[in-house]
Amino acid sequence: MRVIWALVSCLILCGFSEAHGSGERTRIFKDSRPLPEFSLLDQHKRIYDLDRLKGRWTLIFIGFTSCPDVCPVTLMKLEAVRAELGLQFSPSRIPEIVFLAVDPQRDAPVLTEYLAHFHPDNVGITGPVEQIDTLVSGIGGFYRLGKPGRGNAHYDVTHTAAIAVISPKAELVAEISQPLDVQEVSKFLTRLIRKRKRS
Amino acid sequence: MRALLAVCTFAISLAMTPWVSGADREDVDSTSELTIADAWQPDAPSLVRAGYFTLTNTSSEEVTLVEVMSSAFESVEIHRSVVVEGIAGMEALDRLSISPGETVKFEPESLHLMMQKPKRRLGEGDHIDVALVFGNGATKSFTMPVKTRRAKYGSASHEGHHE
Ligand SMILES: [Cu+2]
Repeated sequence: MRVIWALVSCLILCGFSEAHGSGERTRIFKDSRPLPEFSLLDQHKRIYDLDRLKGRWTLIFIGFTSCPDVCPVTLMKLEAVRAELGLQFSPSRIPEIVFLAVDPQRDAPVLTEYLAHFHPDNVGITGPVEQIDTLVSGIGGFYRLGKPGRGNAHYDVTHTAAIAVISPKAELVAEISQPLDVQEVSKFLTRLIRKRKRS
Repeated sequence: MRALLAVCTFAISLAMTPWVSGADREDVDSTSELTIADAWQPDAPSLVRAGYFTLTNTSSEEVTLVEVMSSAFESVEIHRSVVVEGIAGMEALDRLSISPGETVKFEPESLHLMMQKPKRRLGEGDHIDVALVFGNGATKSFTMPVKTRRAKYGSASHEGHHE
C-alpha cells in the first residue's frame, strides 16, 4: 500500500514540476496594475512612496532582516542582474532593487546597517504595518509573521518568494519566481525594458 | 567468481570485526567516520546568522544529527529553506538522518544552521566553534570561519553564474 502511495505521489510531483519547474519562471501580466498610494521610509529615513517609483524600473521583493539564508542570496543575485543590465543600459534604465522589509519591529533598527552590508545602491523600506500591507497587496504579495518557537524568541516570516517588476509608470507589470537564475532574469528584463521603451 | 570471492571476503571481515559495545562507540570513533568540509558563515549585520558546511558519513551505519551547539550563539537550529506554492519560509528539523556513504550539504537556499543571538560581535576573519551531536551520543566539533559572501564567491556576478 505504501509503495502505491509513493508511486502516486511521485506521479503527482512529477506532473507538478513538469507544469511549473520547466515552465516559465517569468510572467508578464496582461494588464498592468497601477500601485496604490503608500508611504514608507527607506534605510536613510527618507520617505519612500509612489513618487519614488515613477520614472524608473524597480524590482521589489518581500523579505525580513532576520532571514539569514534566502534573502541575502536574493539580494546578491539581483545585484548580479543589475551588473548584467549595466552592460546594456545606461544607469537610469537599470532597475532599482527594493527590499520590502515586512517585520518592522525587528527590521527598522537594523535596516540601515543591513542594506549597507550589501550594495549602497539598493533600497530597503519598511514602516507602519498598514502601509506595508498596502504595498504588499498592491504587488499581489503575501506575508505572515510566525509565532516564536519554544524556548527562543525567534519567529519565521513566510512571504511571497517572487520578485515584483514595477514599470516607470509605477505599475506592476511582471513577476519573477524563485529560484532566480541570473542569466534568465537578465535576459527577461532586457527584453522587457527594450519593449516598453518603444511602446 | 571474483564477485563471489569479494562477497565472501566482505562477510568474513564482518565476522572478524570485534563487537563494539554501545558505550565504546559513543566516545570512540563515530567522529572519525564523519567528515566536515567547506564550513563557513556568511557575515551579516543581523542577530540571526546562517551556517553552512558539508557533512559526509563514511561509516557503514546511518547516523542521526539531533543537536547542534555553538558557544558563540544562544541557540542553533537545523533549518531548511522552502518555497511552497510561491511562499518562501523555513522549516526547523528536529533531526536529520545521514545514510552510510551519504554527503549532506548545508548550503544557501537549502539546509542551513540557523544561529541566533551571537554572544559577541562577529565579523569577517572570526572563527566560530560548532559541535554536532548525534543520536548515538557521538559528537563532532569543528570551526567555522566567518566570510563575506563576496569573499566566498568572488564578484557578485560570479555568484550569479554559480547555480
Ligand atoms: Cu533558517
